[in-house]
Amino acid sequence: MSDYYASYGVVLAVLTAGALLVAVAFTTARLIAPNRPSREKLLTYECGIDPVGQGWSQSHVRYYVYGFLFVIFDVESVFLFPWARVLEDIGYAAVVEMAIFIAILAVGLLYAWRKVVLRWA
Amino acid sequence: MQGGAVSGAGTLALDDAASRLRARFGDDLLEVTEQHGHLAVSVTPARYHDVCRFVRDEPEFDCDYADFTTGVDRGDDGGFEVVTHVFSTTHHHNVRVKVTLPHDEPAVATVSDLWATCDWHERETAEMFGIRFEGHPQPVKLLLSEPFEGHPLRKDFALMTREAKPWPGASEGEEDDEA
Amino acid sequence: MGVITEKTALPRIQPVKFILNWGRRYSLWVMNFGLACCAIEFIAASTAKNDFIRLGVIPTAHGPRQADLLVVAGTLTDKMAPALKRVYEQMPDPKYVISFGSCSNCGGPYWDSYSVTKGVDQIVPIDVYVPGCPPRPEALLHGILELQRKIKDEDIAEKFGGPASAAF
Repeated sequence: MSDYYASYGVVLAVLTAGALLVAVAFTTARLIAPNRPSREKLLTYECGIDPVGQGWSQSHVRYYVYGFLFVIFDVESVFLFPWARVLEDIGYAAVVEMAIFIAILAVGLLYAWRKVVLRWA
Repeated sequence: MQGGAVSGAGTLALDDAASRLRARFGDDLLEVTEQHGHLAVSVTPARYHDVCRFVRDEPEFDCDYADFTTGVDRGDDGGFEVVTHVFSTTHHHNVRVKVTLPHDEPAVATVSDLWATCDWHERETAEMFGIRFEGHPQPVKLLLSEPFEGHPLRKDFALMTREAKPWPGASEGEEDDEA
Repeated sequence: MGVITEKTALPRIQPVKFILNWGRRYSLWVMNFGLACCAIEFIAASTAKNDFIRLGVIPTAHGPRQADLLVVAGTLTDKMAPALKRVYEQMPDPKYVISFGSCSNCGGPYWDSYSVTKGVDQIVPIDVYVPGCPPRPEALLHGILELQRKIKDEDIAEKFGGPASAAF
């Protein structure tokens, strides 16, 4: 029983060490580095000239769609890996089940294709 | 009217071009010569814009690419000379249009509506010589810093650094050059 | 807030001072303020033959905020001077400046021009001047080593203490 928790303990120790490293580094920098804020130092950087306009620039929504589609099919491929490991034990039922899963996602892909979302420009 | 008289490569035939321009502009055309292998046309300030438009729109000239617009200070009895050099990407020939302006109140029409390139070139010429380009959409300084006063490329512009410390003369190794 | 450097005498104790200066001088990330031909020599100094990256000077500063060192390479005109000042002001302390080439040292061959700033030390404080027109890449390496020598004996509280405008 204690072996089961031992591996989790290792993970916790690594996480703590990482957090501690970051905290020590940043705190040391905070304490040692000179800090002389001035008005110009805190201005938005725009290659040396006074900044014009807003800092907010909006990206086209089509880039969101690409990320969205990627996540869906990436998750699908993640599901394929453990399925491939147990495929041999389960048999043909597993093949049919995975075919249904991929078919459902393929319908979604077909919908995206027909909506002309896959065209870049 | 003969059609397609100019060949695809090489310079515009001088006589042909001169006769066409004279037929169109008559006495406003002061001189048509050849300079460094390019056709150089001198006009009066009043017809400068018309000559430039003619050179751009006439199919035989078809100068669609503006190379530069600059100024020359010809000294006391020469006035300012504004030079616009254009090129034809179809006929591969160059045309140079020159106009001479008096030293006080130099002003000429802008050609930035014909070639967009000349917008910035005219801004630079204006700040360097003090020439006013009438009709220019944005006649502000291009290269000189905002508080700068004066027009540096004029011959009578006093260069402060040389007044403070005169030209030291030839350095060692240049015995013959004493200028 | 730099509490240790400003309020305590800890950075003046020799071992601590040694470590702080050692860390600072061997990790001078550089912002290349390349203006003219000297910028090409700066780039040449970053290539494999005369590599200044081995000295810790890594030129991947994407802006002044990630840089410790500003190298002004090339002719500074009066129109560009406010931009240089602003970029220098936007660098976080501790910061150093190398003036590279004779145009930025003193106006160089354009000392008599109507539009050239004769010497960037009129705009920003300089730590090392590298002469030449343009200086050889080895000259930049020498300049960086000179700056590292200077930082070795530096008192960080003295150089970067006080309000921002007091330094220049």
